[in-house]
Parts: sequence; C-alpha cells; structure tokens
Amino acid sequence: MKINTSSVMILLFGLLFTGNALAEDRHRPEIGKKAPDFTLTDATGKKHTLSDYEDKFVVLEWLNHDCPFVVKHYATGNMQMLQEKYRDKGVVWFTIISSAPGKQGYLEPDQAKKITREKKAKPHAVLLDPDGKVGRAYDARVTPHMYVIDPLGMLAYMGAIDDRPTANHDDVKGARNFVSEALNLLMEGQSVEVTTHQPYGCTVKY
Amino acid sequence: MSASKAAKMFLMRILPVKHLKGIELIPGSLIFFLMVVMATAARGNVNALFHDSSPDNTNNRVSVSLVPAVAGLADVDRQTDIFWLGVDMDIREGWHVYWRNPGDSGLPTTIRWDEHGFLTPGKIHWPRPARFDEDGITTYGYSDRVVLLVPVSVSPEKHNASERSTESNAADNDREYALSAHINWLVCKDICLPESTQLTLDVDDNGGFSGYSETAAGIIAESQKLVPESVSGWQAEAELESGRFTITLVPGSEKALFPDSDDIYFYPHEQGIIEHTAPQIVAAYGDRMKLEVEASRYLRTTPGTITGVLSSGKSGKSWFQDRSIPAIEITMPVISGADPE
Repeated sequence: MKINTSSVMILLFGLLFTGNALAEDRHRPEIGKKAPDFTLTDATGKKHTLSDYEDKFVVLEWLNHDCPFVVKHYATGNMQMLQEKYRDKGVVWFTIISSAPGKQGYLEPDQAKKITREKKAKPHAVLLDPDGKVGRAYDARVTPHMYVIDPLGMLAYMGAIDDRPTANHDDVKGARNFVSEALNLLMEGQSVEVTTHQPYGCTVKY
Repeated sequence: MSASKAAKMFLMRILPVKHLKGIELIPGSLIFFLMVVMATAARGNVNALFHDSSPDNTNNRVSVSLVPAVAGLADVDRQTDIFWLGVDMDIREGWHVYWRNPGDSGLPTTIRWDEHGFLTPGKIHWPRPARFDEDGITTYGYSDRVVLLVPVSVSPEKHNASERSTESNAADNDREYALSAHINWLVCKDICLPESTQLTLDVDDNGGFSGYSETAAGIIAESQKLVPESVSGWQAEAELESGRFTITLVPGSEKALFPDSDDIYFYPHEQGIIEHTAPQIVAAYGDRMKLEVEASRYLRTTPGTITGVLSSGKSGKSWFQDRSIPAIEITMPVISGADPE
C-alpha cells in the first residue's frame, strides 16, 4: 500500500484535532448547576428525556450488574429498597448502563429487562447508554456512581452511594447513605449537607 | 456540530471508504466472545460468565502465602519481642491488587486475624504502590508480586518459656499454636473480582514456624526496603488555594537529598484529598521542591494535615544520601484556609 506524506499529515492533524476536542468536551457536572440533559432509550424501547421530568426529583444510578460493589447493594436488597421507597415518594429513578458492547455489564434490551425482573429492581426505567455518551457527560466513573437532581433540574448530589467503600455485604447496614440523605433533606425543604463524596466501585466499562 | 464530530467527518471525506471498513472490522475473538455471551445468556446464565463462585480458591488470580522472617520463636528479637510476617501475594500477569488508598476505584487488601494465645499481629505495613490507569481513571496498587508486612508481637512470657510442656494436649496445641489469617482482596484487570483465602502460621512443638525457608529473611528485607519510612530528615507543608494543593518540601538534614527522578509522585493515604487522575507537577526552587496537584472535587473542608507517601517512582532513587529509601512517609500541615471552590 502506498502512503503519501500529505495524507499522513492530514491524518495526524485530524487526530490532534479530535484529541483537543475531546479534552474540551470533558467538562464536569457541577453541584447547584443544571444537570446535563439527555435522551436515552430504555430496555423496553421507550425514549426518556431528562428535561421532561422537571418538577420531579430524579436519581441516576450507574449500573454494571456483575461489579462486586453493585452486587453488594443488589444482593442485600439495598438498591431495590431505595428504588421502591423513593418511587413511592414520586422520585424518578433511572438506572443507566454505560458498558460498551462486549464489556462487563453490557446488556441487550431483553437481557436488561430479564435482569431487572430477576433482581426485583424497581427503577422507573433502565436506560441503555452503550456508546457512553451520557456516562461521560456526567463524568460517571464507577458503578454504582449516584446523582440526585432536584425538581428545578439542578444537580444536588453526586458521588458514592454511601460512606462504606467496600464490596462487603455486611457493610450496607449502618452505612450513611448519601442518596437517601440528600433526598430526605430536599423533601423537607432543607439544603443537602453532603453534596459530593468520593465515589467507589468498579470503573465504568466504556 | 462539535469539533470532534467535525474532525471525524473531515477524516471520512479524506479516507477511502475501504479504509473505514477496515477500521470497523470486529476482530474474530470479539465475535466469538459475543457468541459465548449470547449462548450463555440464552441459558439465563449471564452471571456465570463473570463470577467464579466456587468456594475453593484454586482458581484465584492471586496466590498468597505467609512468610515469617525468622525460623521460630527462638529467633525472635528479645528486645522487641516482634517478628515480621510477610503476606506474599503472587499476582497473575495483567492483574493488580490495591494499596491502602486504592485511588478512584478498587479496594485495599484486608487481613482479619483470629485471636491467638501469644501472637498478636499489628497493622499492615504497605510497600510503596504503583499507579494504574483503569478506563481513564487512576488507581494505586501492585502488579506481579507484593509482600505486605505485618509485625507480630510475641507475648514475653511465652517467649521466655522456650521449653514447651510435654504434657500439653495435641488438640489444644493445634488450636493455640496456629495463627489464622482471613485475607480478602479485590483483583482487577478489565474486570474486578473479590478473592479471599484463609492461611495459617503454624507453630510446632519446638516453636518453629511454618512457611520459613532460607530465602524468607531476604524476601522480608526486600519488601522492607520498599515500605515508606517515616523520616525526620524532610520538612513538608501543603497550601490549598483555588482548588490546588502546593506541597513544599525542604530538606531538614544534610543527608536529605532530592531523588534524581522525573517520576516523583505523592500518594495520599486517604481518598478524597487530591484528584488521583490529575498530573502532579514537580519543580525545584533553590533548595526546595514544589509539587502541585489539583485538589479532589470531593474535598469539602480543608484538612488540618495530610499524610501520604512521596515516592521516587520507577527510578527507585533514594531520598537520602546515606541510605536507600525510595519512598518516604510524610505528614504535613495544610497552611491555607481557602476552600477548594
């Protein structure tokens, strides 16, 4: 194959350009600022747009069902309990899967439905983000990485689900859960005490 | 249109279509993997792909053994009544385990000891870690092999009574003399798996330890060299301003020496202090060195002090002229009260 210098130069220039653009795109969501809007398709094929849920509290939960840190919260029923408890209080809970096809945690829509059913999970919807676009917009780094959005669409909490960064199932009980704490305070009209906390878990498999 | 999209479209225009097709070709191994995923999923068994649920640990990616630095009770230092026990972790290629602060993901290795009649293990002394890039975030840990060190103190009465009572019951002996360790760790490559094992340090009737060999003392000594020393020869302080820490390091003794290394790195003991993924900028200013790094976005209040490890990195250069100390442990006051945001 013949390669001429100018096409290599153009290619290099293109790569450079792409690299810079990625660096600029890498902005971080901020507490007290508008949560990045998105539209994603759920496991049943229905589209959901975040801004359609303004006037409601929204929780975003990043999922990789095979990650030991996620298993901790599902095997103990902790995540399902939170989903159900806050669904009953009108909170819209989105579970988001940003694993790329072929990587751990990636699920086809039918698999996602099946696993949701098997785990008796109670999210409003399981959203599929196989190209990782929404995960990256939120700078979601681990599973479970958690976000709480208030009814004005502002980010109120982001980070760890609780203060026990372990995969040990016994650590669920007695942990300080930052998601329920934030939701409870906001629902009482108070401000959130812990708005960010170092998240823990497996890396998101983009 | 975003700049990256524009660049891609630009590339599409200049590259012949067949090249693009080549780029998008899925490797055969991936197709095979996906087929396995689908076949397994069809049997409703997705979990089986990733979970090694067998109770025995022969499939572990890390094999662990206990290595005492001395042959038995008789060889334990009588001044301190302490001996070193190595937890030797042999890690499968490509995988890694974690340091006390795992960074942005992962879990530190933990050891739970059963209570023992006359042996009391202390806290883990961690050799200096390395950095790992995992899906764009930074973690701290070990690959290949690491020997965690645990000081074990021997109760002085037992130590003095080196002659064992011959009347003691054998069953009691087993219970009393085997020191049991329950070791848990997370091992990661592209996926993470929790693994564990239970090991014992047996003490025979003559006070001899199991797991000792002629190489043991050498293994322990090698690892000890890598454990950061808490030294008095360096003075450090940190300043927090506009979301950045500047650590200033001043040699406090004639023997203190800046390591000739372009890989100097500060590993904080705790999470949530610095951005683990952010670059650390090291520069010399006369007789002092400054290390600048972005504060963690999760830092809510200014800490009073910060403790961590300064490592000379891959160079392995020492922080002292007269001793080989490639990593030092430092605790420094944070002098500015300014909040990170």
